[in-house]
Amino acid sequence: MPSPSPSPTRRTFVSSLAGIGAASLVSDWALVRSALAHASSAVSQQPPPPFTNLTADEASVISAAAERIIPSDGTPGAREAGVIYFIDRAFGTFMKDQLADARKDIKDLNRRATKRNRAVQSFAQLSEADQDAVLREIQQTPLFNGLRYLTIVGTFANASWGGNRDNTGWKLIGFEPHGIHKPPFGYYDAQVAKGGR
Amino acid sequence: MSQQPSASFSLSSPVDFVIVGSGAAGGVLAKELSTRGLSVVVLEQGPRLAPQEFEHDEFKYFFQNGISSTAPVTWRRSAKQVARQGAGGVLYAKIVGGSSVHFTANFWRFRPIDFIEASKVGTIEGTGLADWPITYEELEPYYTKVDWEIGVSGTPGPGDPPRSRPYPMPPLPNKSAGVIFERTAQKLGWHPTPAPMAITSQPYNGRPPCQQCGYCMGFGCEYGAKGSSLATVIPIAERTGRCEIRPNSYVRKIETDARGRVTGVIYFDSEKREQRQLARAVVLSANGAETPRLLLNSKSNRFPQGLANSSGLVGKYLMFNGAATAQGIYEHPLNEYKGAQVTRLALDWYDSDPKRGFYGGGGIDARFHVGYPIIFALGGTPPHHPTWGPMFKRYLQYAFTRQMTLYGHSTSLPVESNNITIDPKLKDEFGVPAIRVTYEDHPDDLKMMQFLLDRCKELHEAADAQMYWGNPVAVQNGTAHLLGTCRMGNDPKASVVDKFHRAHDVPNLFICDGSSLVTSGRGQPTMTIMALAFRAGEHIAEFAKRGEI
Repeated sequence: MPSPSPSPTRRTFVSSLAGIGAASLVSDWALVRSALAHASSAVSQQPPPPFTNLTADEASVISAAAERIIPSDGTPGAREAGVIYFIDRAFGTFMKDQLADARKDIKDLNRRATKRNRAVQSFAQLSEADQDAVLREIQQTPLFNGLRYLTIVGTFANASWGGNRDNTGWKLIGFEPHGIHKPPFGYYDAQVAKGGR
Repeated sequence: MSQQPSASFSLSSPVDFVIVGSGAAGGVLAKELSTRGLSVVVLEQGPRLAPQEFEHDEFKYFFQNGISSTAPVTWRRSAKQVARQGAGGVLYAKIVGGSSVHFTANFWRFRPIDFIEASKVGTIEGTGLADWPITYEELEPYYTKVDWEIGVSGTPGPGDPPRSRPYPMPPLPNKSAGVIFERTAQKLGWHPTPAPMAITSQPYNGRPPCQQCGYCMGFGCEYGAKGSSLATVIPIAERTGRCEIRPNSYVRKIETDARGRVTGVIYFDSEKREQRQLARAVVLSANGAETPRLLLNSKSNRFPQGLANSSGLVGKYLMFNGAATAQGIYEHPLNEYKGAQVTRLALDWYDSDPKRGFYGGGGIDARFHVGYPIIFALGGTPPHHPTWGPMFKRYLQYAFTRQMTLYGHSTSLPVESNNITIDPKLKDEFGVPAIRVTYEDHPDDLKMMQFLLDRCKELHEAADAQMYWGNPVAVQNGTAHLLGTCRMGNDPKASVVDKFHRAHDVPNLFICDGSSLVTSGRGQPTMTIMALAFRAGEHIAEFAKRGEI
C-alpha cells in the first residue's frame, strides 16, 4: 500500500503539539480570499440563535458545511454534537483574530452556492447534493481544511469546549471517557484472559 | 502526596548549586545533590501544577499547547537554506518536571554496544560516530537506581544487557495490541517481550498503581503512576529542606567572572522582572535544545563563541532517533486508548548488521499512537479513503476502537551539520534570541527507518489486519528527542563535557541532559538521561565536598 497517508506519526504529532500542524489549518482561514464581495442572505432556519460571535446567517452556512462533513445519517452527527456552538465560541476565543477572514470565506461559499443555483443566496439553502458538490469544489483549499478541522474538533473535543454535546462524538465512535479502566481492554486480551489464544 | 515546606533561598548569597531545568535530569540532580547536604535552587521556566490539575483534554494538550513550550523556533534542512518558523518543531514540556511529565514512559536501557559502537563498527565517513567516555558497565548501577527510585515495570527479555538487580515491578497488564504483536512476532521468528515502562504496575513507594486511564503520551499523570521527576525525586529533594524549586523562572544567561568561572545566572521571574541568582556552581539540564541555546546566548569577551564552546561543538551533532509507523485496523475492537501506550516490543534489529547494507539498529513496539478521537478523525483514515461525508463517518465508527500502530524506533547518526544554533533575527517574547534547528536525517538513518517500516507492515500482514498502511519515511521535521548537542568525551577538542559532565572549559559548570549523549541509542533516551543524572549527581556532590567546584 504505497501511497501517502495523513496518519499521525511522531512528526505530525510533534507538529500539532507545537501548534504548527493543526494550528496552521486554522490559520488557513487567513489565506483564503474571496475575489467577490457579496451580500449574504438573510435566510436562516437552523441552528437557532443565540450565537455570540457569528450572525445567524453565518452560523447557518458553517453549520450546513459541518453537517455534510459529519452527517446525521441515521446516527448523530455534527448537528447533534452542537459543532456550530463550538465554532461560535472559538471565534470569540482562540480564533478571535480570524473571524474577519472567516466572514470573507462564508461570502465565498455563498457566492459559489448562487453560481450553482441562481435561486439561492446562501450555501445553507442548497440541497445536500449541491452542498456536497460545492465542498468537493473546494476540497483542496485551506478553507475546506479549516471547516473540516473545526467540525472534527467540535465533534470530538471535550464538551467543555462547547461542542460534543452529551458526548455525542465519543459515543459515536465507541470512546468511553472514563478516567479509570480495567483489563481486559479489548477482544484479544479478553480471549487470552479466558485461556484462549 | 502532601506538599512539604521546601527551602527558600535568597538571591544574593550564593547557593551551592543552581540547576537550570527540573525535568528527567534536573529533577534527579536536585535530589542527588540536596540529599548529600548541598543547597540547591532549581530554576524551571514553566509553572508548577498539582497532580489534580492535569486534565484529560485532547484539544488543550495537543492543539492549544496545554503544557508544552510555545517558544518560537526556526527550522531548515541545511546551512544553505534560510530557516523559517513553522518548518519544524521542537517539543518539550514547560512545567515543573519537564518532559518527564508528558513522556510516554518507555524505559529501555541502552545496551553495551551503544557506548562502544565506533570501535565495533568503525567510524562512518561524514559523521561524528564516537565511543562514549564511559561504558555500559560503568552506568549499570545507575540504570538500576532508575529502576528502583523512579520505578520501572518489566521483565528481562532476550538480548537484554546485564542487570545487577531485577525489575522492581512486574510488567503492566498486556493489551490487545500486545497480544496480537506477541503471537504474530513469534510466528515471524522474532523475540517479543513485555515493554519496560516507567509506570507503576503495583503500589510503589507511596504511589498508586497505574489506573489504565490511557492518557500517558502528551499528558501528565494525575495519579503519580508515571515516573516523572515531579512524582518521584523532586518531593524527596524538597523534603531535605535544602532544595527550592522555583517555577516560572526563565534563565537567559549564565554569568562568569574574570577568571572564567560561573558566578550565577540571570533569569526572568513570573513578573518578567530580571533576577540574578548567585551560586558556587551551575548545573545545566534544560534539554538538548535549550541547553546549547543558553550556552550560545551566554557569550562574553572571555567566551566569544558562547560559554563552554572552545571545541565549537556546543549545539552540534543533534540527534532525534528515527521513527517509522504503520497503522492497522483489526477485526475486533482493541480499545487501545485504554491503558499504557505500549505493552510489547521486539528489539531483534538492535545491532547494526552489515548484511542490511547500511548502518543502523532499532526495535518495534505495538502501541496506541496519538489515536485519541480528534487526532484519529483528522488523520487516521487510510490512503484514498474519503475524509468527510457518510463513508468517513462510518470509518470512524468502525475503526476507532480497532486501530493499532506499529512503531519502529531507530538510531540517528551524529552529524555535525545537524545542530542547534541561534537564529540571527528571531527573538522570543522575552527578547532572547531563538533556537534555529538545522537537521536532515543521514541516508543510513532513513534506510533504517524504511527497514523497520517494512517489518511493521510484515507484522500487520501476518496478523491478518483487515487493512494496514505505512506512513512514508521522510526527513524528520520535529521531535521530542533532543540529543547529542553537548556531547561527553575525554578530549576537550572533540567534546563539550568530560565523563563527569563538567564542562571542559569552565570548572564549576556542569551539563547533564539529552545533550550529553554521544550516540542516540535505539529509541528511548529518558532512562539513560536519568541514569547519567544519578551518576553525575554522585560525582558532582563529591567534587563539591572536596572543594573542587
